[in-house]
Amino acid sequence: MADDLDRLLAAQKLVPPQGFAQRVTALARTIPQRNSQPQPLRPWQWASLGVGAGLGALLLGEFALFAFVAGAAQ
Amino acid sequence: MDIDTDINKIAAGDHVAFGRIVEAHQGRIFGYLGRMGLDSATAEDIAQETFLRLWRNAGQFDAKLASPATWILTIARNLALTHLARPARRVEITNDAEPPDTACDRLQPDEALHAKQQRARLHAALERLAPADRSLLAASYVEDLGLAEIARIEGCTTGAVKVRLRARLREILEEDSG
Repeated sequence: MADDLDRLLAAQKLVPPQGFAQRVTALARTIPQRNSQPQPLRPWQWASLGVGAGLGALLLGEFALFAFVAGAAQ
Repeated sequence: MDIDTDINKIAAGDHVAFGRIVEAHQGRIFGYLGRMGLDSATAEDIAQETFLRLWRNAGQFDAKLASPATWILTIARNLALTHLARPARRVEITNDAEPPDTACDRLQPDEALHAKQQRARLHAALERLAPADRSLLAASYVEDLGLAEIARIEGCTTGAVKVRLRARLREILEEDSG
């Protein structure tokens, strides 16, 4: 009976259709690959991040100052 | 050509190396998917997606975690299980899946009928297996795949693979004889 199971499973084996590998390889040519590792930030990217954060903090401070002055004036 | 080298080349965008890997592994993947009970059209879709994922993610392959063959089969397994988990799954339940009847040609009519009924019962027992168990059984029929590799694909220990395999086979055979 175990032999029957072996034969049954052996018969269920599928084989690749003709030209499958060529078709998949051709399809891969149209598909971009993912990068393996996230690229580290370059110095200019760090610098622009710093400038952005600084400007943001400045704007926030300015807004708080205006709100304080306007509140005190009333 | 060393398969690890080929994976590195694929990661660098080498289509020739990719073609070599597909050629070398397509037979195993289709064999495995067929034993998972998938029809040929679904198996082709899943095999294609398996190799395209390999292409897209070759850069993430880590040889320390698994061999390329194990990695490819794991991708196929995950895709097959996802497919089988869908409610309206297509499973081949046709007579095409029956083994060639050469041995039965010499049997008497009632013996032949008995053999055919037995195969049908086995087939039904296989169809009733949970997809993960079916995958385990299918993986155990993949050529050159050891217990350790099956365990890695199935995400369990080799001991668990042995126990599960033995239990499922016993269930199928008991169901068939009972």
